[in-house]
Amino acid sequence: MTGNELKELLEASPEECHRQLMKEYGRYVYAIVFNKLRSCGTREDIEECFCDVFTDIFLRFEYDEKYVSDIRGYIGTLAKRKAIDRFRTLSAADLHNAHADEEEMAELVSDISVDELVDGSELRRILLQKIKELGEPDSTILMQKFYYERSSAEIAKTVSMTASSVRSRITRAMGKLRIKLAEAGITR
Amino acid sequence: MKNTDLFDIFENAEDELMEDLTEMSPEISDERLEELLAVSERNYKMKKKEYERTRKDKNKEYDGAVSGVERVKRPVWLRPLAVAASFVLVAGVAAGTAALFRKGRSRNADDPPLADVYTDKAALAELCLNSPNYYNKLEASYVLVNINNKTESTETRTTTEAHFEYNSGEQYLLFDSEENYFSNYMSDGDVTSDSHWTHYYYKNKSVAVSHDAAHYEVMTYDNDWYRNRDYISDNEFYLDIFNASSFCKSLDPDKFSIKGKDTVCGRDCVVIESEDEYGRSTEYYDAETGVELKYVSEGKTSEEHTVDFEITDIKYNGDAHVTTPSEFRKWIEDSGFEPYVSIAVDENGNRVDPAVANNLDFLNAPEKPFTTAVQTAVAPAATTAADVSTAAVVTTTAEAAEETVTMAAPDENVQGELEKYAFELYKRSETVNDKINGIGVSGYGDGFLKVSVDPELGYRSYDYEHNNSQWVDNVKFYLPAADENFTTADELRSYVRSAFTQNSFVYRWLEDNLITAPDDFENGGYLDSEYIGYYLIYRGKLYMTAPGGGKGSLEPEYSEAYPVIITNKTDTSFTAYVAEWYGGSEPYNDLNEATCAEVKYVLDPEFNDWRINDIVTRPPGVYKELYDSRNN
Repeated sequence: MTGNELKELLEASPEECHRQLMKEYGRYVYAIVFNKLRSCGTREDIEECFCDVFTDIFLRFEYDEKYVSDIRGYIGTLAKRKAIDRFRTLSAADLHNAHADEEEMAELVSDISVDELVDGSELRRILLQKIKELGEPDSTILMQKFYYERSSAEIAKTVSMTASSVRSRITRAMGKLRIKLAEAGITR
Repeated sequence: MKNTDLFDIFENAEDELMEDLTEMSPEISDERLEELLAVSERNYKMKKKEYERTRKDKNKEYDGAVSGVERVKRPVWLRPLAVAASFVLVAGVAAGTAALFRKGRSRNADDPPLADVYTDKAALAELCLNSPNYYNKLEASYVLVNINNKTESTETRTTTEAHFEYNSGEQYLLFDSEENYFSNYMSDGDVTSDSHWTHYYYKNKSVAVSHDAAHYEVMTYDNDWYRNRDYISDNEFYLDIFNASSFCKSLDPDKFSIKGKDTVCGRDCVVIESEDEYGRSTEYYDAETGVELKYVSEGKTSEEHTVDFEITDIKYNGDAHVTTPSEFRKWIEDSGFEPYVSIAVDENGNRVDPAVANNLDFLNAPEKPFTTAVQTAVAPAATTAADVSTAAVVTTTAEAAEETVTMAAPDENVQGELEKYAFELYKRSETVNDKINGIGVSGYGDGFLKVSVDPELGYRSYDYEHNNSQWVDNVKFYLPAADENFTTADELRSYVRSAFTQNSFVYRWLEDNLITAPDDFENGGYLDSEYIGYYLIYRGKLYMTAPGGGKGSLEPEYSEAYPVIITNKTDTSFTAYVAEWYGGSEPYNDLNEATCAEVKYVLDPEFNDWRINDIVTRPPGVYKELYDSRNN
């Protein structure tokens, strides 16, 4: 829906307008918030921040005319800022150090590590490119497993496979990814 | 700093990657969406109710700040942005017609006739919206009284006395305000507070000085400070000084009426009025410059909201004094304010050094880099850290005895001994950092410590007890430290100190993680989270977190063609910039692909030798800029 259509919907039914905003931009906001809070927040922290972002989105959509013309850009900026705020709060009290990977998955990534001193922008680009070269659904499965930290069972629901099929695909895909990364000079 | 696994590098990704990360993100089920929506909806209704109750102008945009019921203490770093926002409303607006541009000069006979701002609403709006075009310098003081929650027996009153100096040509602003807050609105009695702040805005940064705490903090924005309008608050009324009146912004003649003329602070003013369901406002604008000189509003709601604002003194152009950036820097340094950070860690989880984060160089032209000078201190102690090239150290100290500190420009074609030493020490620091994080450790002792931990921590560890390739929950294992460089806590401290200062984030991380188990702890027992760190000292013996799998790090590559660049050299400190390449292929000669390590060295009094105090990773291009400036 366009900004103007959403504005009209807001007049008719604010709750329905909000539902549409969340449906349309929910994953985008989640991706941004997760990206900032992954290292310091639990899933609950991330969802709480997600809800805060949308509370703000709903209010700004109602009172800020400039919002309407560039909703996605505005939402992205808002989500990023709120996530950074939350990151600062969580980091100040961070005692969390979880190792939540399933046992057979943990070592697949443990021998490829990156020195955190590196700025990483080029590495991110290369890594993402290599992951995408694996094709679907493997690239999405890998990202949801190792970046979004979903369990194989959760991923299985979204890709319509069994959990054991997901695990098998992960093992094979990581093997291919390791080769691709070695060719690009990224290795132990 | 800890090494991270492969997919961790997607954290804090660039905006351009967000689309890909969004596409690959998990779907939000309908059921979960409704649950999240319900939470957001509930919070939205509460915030909307509060916002409607306290806003003073129905055309005001929602800004994320809800005020009126209780005083929300705004974080330090929000304050500068709120003031900066006002300038976007004026300075960032497209220029009006040439006929109205009279920036700081007297009107000439050849100038086209001025529109009459006392009768022409459009002309008045144009004047007000482009106000900074009508003066070069502005110096003024004002008093602002903002009253909320007023009933027969209660009120919340904020009184601000402020002084500001603004150079609209070179875009720098000084803003000094003393604020007194009083409220007896809440049931827990009277609340009062006073605060005194000075803010300075220049380029893409601002400095916030707290007189009460005697400290200052530098904030950096994405753009020039006057283009930032992310934070606008109802309470920061002084924004209106540079004309933030919404009806003028909207240029809607139906929203206000021109009432006539008056004089404020010796200046002829246009008086306008507006009224809506929330109350009536009367405003006075300088008829020549469009600066708002007075504002009075009266609320109609059951809990009245009134605002009184009035300029008490104003000077323009030649009569105005505006503190320059270098003058402001000198004032900070002479006054002895300490650098301060309101957020102790950065987005990557690294500790923030207040002195580094609050660098005031942007207020002055930077000094030229130079490097032929080495310290004139007494020759360093004979023993230095084991892995540092003895030859390099000896050479450096021998030269140090002969050279004197000088401000001479560097010899750009020769890599000096200080650069070599700095480079070797930097590489050594990487090894030290790896080892204390469990990478490249040469060995562990026999036995292990098994610690039961709080399930809230979510620990899952390889089972060293049974060594059966299984993992166990809510348990952490430690192994005895037996690296070639350290087996005890004191040796570990010395090892880190061989590369880093005591004040460095690495050493401070170490001290935070060198934890002694309580006397009553037994192997296999439970420890509270306060005792869980990377190291554990148990019965005098040093243990380190048992590895959970292979760990490695991506080794950077360097190029002899792009040596270390040293800047800001003094007797006791210097900064070195190191170009590094990761993940690429030889030859490493594309500076656009190089990341840059900015390494701060200080002369450590304990060793009378250089140690690293801080390392900050800079984006590609930083080294290139330095290199080009030295070679062009």
